[in-house]
Amino acid sequence: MKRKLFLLISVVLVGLTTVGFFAFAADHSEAPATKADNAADIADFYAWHEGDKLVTILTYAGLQATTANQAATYNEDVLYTINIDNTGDNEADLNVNVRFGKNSKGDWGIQVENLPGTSELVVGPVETTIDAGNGLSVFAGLRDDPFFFDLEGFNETLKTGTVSFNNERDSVAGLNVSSIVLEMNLAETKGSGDSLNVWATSARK
Amino acid sequence: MSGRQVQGSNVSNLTVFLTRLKGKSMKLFAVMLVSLLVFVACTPVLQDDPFVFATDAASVYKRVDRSAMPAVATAVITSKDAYNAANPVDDANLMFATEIVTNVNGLHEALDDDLTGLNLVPCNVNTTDPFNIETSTCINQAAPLVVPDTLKIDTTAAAGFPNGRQPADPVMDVTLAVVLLELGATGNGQNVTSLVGVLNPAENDKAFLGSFPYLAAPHAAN
Repeated sequence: MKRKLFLLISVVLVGLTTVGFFAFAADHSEAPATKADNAADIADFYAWHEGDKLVTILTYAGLQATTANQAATYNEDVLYTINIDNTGDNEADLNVNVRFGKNSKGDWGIQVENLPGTSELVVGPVETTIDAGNGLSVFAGLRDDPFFFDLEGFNETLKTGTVSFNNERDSVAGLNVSSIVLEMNLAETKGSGDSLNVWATSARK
Repeated sequence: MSGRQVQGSNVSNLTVFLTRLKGKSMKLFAVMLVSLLVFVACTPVLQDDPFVFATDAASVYKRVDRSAMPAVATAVITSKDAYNAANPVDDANLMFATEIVTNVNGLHEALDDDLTGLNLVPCNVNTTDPFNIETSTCINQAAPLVVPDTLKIDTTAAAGFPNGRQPADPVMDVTLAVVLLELGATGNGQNVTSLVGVLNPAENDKAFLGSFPYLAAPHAAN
């Protein structure tokens, strides 16, 4: 009886060990998402100074309609960059790079590289306010699309050559967007002067 | 079994322990248990399950999109793929100047009579010498705003589009005013806010948070 029990437990343990090894060896990269290009499609870019911070918001994969179990779009092969020129020559002096990646459970996380005001990579789960240190925060996740605009009116205007806007029509109302919100130490972003030129880029490998 | 403490490595202690177990099943059980424990102890994945990110240098990635000034790419740029692949330094070198001027002049050709009909004073376009910014007030006004395509921030002045861009700024109406209306002395008091709430909604459908992460929570499904 004892012998059979030990044998059973041994088999279970072998099974667990084997499964564990396979999970560890499993390829972390997912199959190409249907929204592959969507992930790199920047919707809007915001940047402003507030107190001792520079805040930047990059929204992408926009005009997302609401669904049950909705989530932001994440892709391991896309690089989002906040480019900062602080010398006035329109060339980037600082590049803040954002990447997304998963853990073994398939949960998504964000990694921010070169965030002005921090000395290390900032890493944490998405849909969470991450303390980046030095009083700065980082967030990535699904949000109400902040853009407000009568896109239909604009297109109609271009098509007909007649002003066709309607100030009560917001083509982006009720829609969501994926967002990356970064706070940076303003003093660390500045170069020789008090002016900055900032822009966002996306790239894919 | 000796009661004496055996100095030396844990592995050798373990070996001694295992060799002294009675019975094949007992040994098999112990070996499996030990191997599982070793696996758990030595595998970071099971210990704290870190996120795994690509480690390729930024230079390996191929450009897909760029964005700064709202609606510039949409409204006044025709060569959209070339534009996305380019950079602000190219804008400043006037790579896209011709099509910007052409499209701004095109907007005026279509809309100036409408603007006048709305009691608005359109900025002047010199169709015979469109790049002459002295006589082309529209280009004179629009150029610094859209060329190069960056958000320009003067950290010594108050924030508010076009000094940077905050979520609540009515950027479309401000941009349209700069591109379409006479904002100088002959503009009858028109300024960058003259079209705010006139053409487009003046605010977002949901209130912004006012603090990090600033954007409102997503809309839920019905």
